[in-house]
Parts: sequence; C-alpha cells; structure tokens
Amino acid sequence: MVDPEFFTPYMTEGNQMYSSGGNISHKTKSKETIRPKSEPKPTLDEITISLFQQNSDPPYMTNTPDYYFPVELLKSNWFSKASANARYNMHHIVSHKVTLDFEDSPAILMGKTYYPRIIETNQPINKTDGELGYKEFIRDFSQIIWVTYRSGFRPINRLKGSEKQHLKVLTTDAGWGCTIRAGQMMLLNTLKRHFNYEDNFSLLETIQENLMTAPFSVHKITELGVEFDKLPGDWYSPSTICHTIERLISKNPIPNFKAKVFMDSVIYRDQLISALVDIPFETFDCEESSEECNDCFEKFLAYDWDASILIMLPVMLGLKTIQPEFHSAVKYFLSMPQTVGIVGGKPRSALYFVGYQEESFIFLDPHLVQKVCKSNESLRENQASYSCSSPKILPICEAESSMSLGFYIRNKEDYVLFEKLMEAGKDQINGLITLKTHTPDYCRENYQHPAQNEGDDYIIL
Amino acid sequence: MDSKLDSINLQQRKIECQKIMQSHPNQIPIILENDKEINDSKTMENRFLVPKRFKFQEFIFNLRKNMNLPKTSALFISIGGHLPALDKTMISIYDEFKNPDGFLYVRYSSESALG
Repeated sequence: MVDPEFFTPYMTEGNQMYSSGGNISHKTKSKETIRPKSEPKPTLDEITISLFQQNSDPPYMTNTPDYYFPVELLKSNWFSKASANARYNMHHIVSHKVTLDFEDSPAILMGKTYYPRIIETNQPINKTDGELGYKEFIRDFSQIIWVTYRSGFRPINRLKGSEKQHLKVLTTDAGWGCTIRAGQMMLLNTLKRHFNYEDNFSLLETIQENLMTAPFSVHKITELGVEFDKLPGDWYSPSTICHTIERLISKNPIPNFKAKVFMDSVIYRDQLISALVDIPFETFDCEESSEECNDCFEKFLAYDWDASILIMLPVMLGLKTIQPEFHSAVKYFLSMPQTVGIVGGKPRSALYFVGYQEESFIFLDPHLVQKVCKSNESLRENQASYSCSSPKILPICEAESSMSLGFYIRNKEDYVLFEKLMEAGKDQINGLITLKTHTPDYCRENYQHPAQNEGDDYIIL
Repeated sequence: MDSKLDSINLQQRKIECQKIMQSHPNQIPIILENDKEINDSKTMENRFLVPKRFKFQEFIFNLRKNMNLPKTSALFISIGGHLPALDKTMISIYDEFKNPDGFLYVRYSSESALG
C-alpha cells in the first residue's frame, strides 16, 4: 500500500544528537561535525539549530498530504478527524461553566498568585505594587506551551506481537493521544523553565511529528511505550506517560537535566540526590535500617550539584473522583513555586492542570485536532497554535482521580525550599506525598522476598 | 465479595476469623479483592496477615513485593470505597472499616487510562 521507505525515519536513534561530548551526527556524513570532548555540552538551542542547518535534505517529512486520510484508513480507524474535532470542540460548549471568571477570587497559576480586579474600570482591588493581576495572568497563561492533537503526520505503524502483525496505520493521534499530549506539555514547560526560554520555537521543534530527529515526538513516545505494554493508538495512563518521559530523557540526555518518577507517593531522598549528583544511591546507605534518618539527610545537604530535576509522582486520589480530603493537597501542590503542572483529566480525557481558582482547576486541553507542521517555516507561521489565551476551568470534584504531579527543582537552594514547603504544608497535603531518606530494602531491585506461608492460605506481611 | 467466601456463611467466616486472630494476636486478617481490570489471581494469594502497627504505606509496599508487580506499574488500594491516607496505621483503618465477620476487605484498582 505505502512505500516502506515512507516509514523509515532518517535517524532511528534520537540519542545521537544529545550524546554527551556533542558528537552531532546526521544523515549527511560529509557535513558531520565532531566536537572535542572538552568543549561544553551543547545547549538545546544549539542542538535544534543544528538539526536544520547541517543537512541538505530537509529533515521534515513533507510528502504527507494535508489530510492524510485515505478511505480505507477511515474505515479502519474507529473515528475520523471530522468526528473527533466535532466531538472535542463541542464538549467545551456544552460544559456549564468553562471559562475563568476573574472578578471574584485570586487565581493560582504555576505557583504564582494573581489577584482579582474589576476589568471594566481597570481599578485594582486589594492590589499592591508588585502583585500580579489579570493582564499578567493572561500574559503568563498564554506563554505556557499548549500541545494538541495533530493530524496528517508521518504514519505510525501499530504492530502487535513478535511477528509484528500489522494492525493499523495511524496518521493522527486524535482519540488516543491526549495523555501523551498532556505529558509533552509538562515536559516542554519544564524545559522552558530549565532553559529560561522566552521564545518557544526550539522547544516546539523537539515534538514535531514530521521532524524525524525530534526527540520527544508522538512517534518517539509510542516507540518507547511498547516497553510499557502500550501499542501506538493505545490509551496511556498518567503513570505510563511519566515513565516514558523518564526513559526519553535518559535516552536523549539534556545537559544538567534529569527526570525521575517516584511510585507509591513517596519521594526517596537517596534516589533523588543520587540522580542529581550522579552517584549510585546504595552509597548513601547507613547502618540504621530506618527509612528516616536525620543524620543522612544532613549528609545529603552537604553535597553540591548543578543539575536540575523533574520529579513526576503518579498518584490516585480516590476511586473515580478526587476525595474531598485531597482537594487541599492538589491545590497546595499547584501553588508551590516548583510545580510544573499536573497530567490529569476528567473521566476518559486527559488535561494538563496548570493552576486553580477556588474549587476549580485551570487547565489546557489537548483535545483539538490541528494540522501538523511540515517544515521549519510552517512551524514558525503556526507557532501561535502552540499557545492558548482562553483559560478554561474544571471543578476539582469532577476531575479524574488518577493523575501525575510534576515538580521541577532547579538547584540545591530550590530543593531546600521544596523540602521546607512540603513540611510546612503538612496539613494541606494530608499524607498524600511523603519524603523518606532511605529506600527500604523491599523497594530495591535485587530484593528477594522471603517465602512465608502459614499453611492456612494466609500470607504474613 | 470474594467468590470463595460467598459460599461460606457469616457464622463460619466469623469463626475462621476468630481462630486466626487468636493464633496471631498482633496481626489483622485482610482479604484482597481484585478490581475488574486486573486479574492475576493465579499469581497471588488473597489472604494476608498484616501487623497492627504497620502504616498503610508499609502495607502497600509489602503487597507490591508480594505481587511481583513491575516497578513501573501503579498499585492503588481502596478500603470501603475510600483511599486511606498513607500514614494511617492499619489498626485504625481496621477499626473503622472492618467487616462484621472480622476481616478487613481491601480492593486493588487499576489506574485509569485516558484518551
């Protein structure tokens, strides 16, 4: 049906371009640049610029038609782009209260508080100098990178089993990629903070579907997702996307940047510090077998490090919806300066929560199908399609209980502050997230659980 | 409720519970029920004895290692339709949620996938 060449990306391994030492290789070998090892690692900007400039062939895949939807694919896809967009654009209209009403109470966005003011008269209420108001809110909100469904992209093959049985060809992620999109939003907005970028362009390049070398595209994510039993086209859970992001970052190292997922709502300080200072965490073990050990915590703080880290915490806050006692916790997390949002959602659809107002989340919604960008120029022209200036809200009580919290810790100072805030917010957090100094034995790779059988079908824990 | 237990009436369950609690005075008898989506009952026993002093978090960790769950899989346990706070002790959860037969029924549920 389709020429196999069509599916072959120019580069199969994204890690070549970020490899430490900066050996940036590309398809055109003659133009390969080799950096000596002593030179500093390339910044993201340098890396992405190099993707375009050193190659005579355009790295973008340009031969996909505008709407790549042959009839046979439409039949095999369980829904078409048209119906997807109708469905997803409609659901905003039918929801009762969707846009942010700024007149009554302060809104919290990515850890910052914005105070209300009466817009008509432009008179601030309770607003002193240096405080953020409505204008700043809209400005900062539209600077958050917004990633949506795209259509017409380089085909992804949905293959199953060891024989690679061909199930489907996907050219859009409409209907299945929303958790991936929410994850991309979290990753990109974290990197934006990490690199202190004003202009999002080079970050957006890293997720371009038709850019073969883009390290964080849907294509690269679904390729890795297979490791977590997710085929392209499968729905991801908030924890799967976090693990995929962790793997993506370890495959495509970014200078001074780490990503780590902590399961079971516990942050182990030894694992965190070991990722930051690049020492195996077993080195931090002490004689005391306790998980809490203040001496060791002090020891950790004696280390110095330059790296920043993205911490991702998949949590479940109720059976279907969030239990009332955890409302204050999620609100507290979103008000911490280290927050990079939450990959969450409402039943069946993922959203990216970036803040809250009173009892509602403020979110960015990936459920809009847009056309893929096919070249550097087309991305420049359509850069606005990656930002959203109309904040929408969702009552916390209607949100899905599975979600992944994201925190970005810039440096040691920031880590100390993070620890203080987690301690100070104990009452709000309500035991949802805890920090422990040592990883218990049973959470370690080589742990052998002793067989304990009682005879009466009981297992003694 | 667990299918194995449906066939046994309340009185029998009570007797069984008392027996096991007498022989293990510092433990709580727990019965684990699967949620619809996860089904690996063949790989795990569903009756546990958990020390009273355990925190809920400790219980989850111990369960995880018992189930041989991959490190990347999420494991969420609910009791009586509710997710207890992680730092609650098992005895306080038991007092609040125990079944009339004396067992504590807990349920493990999978994380929701979103499209």
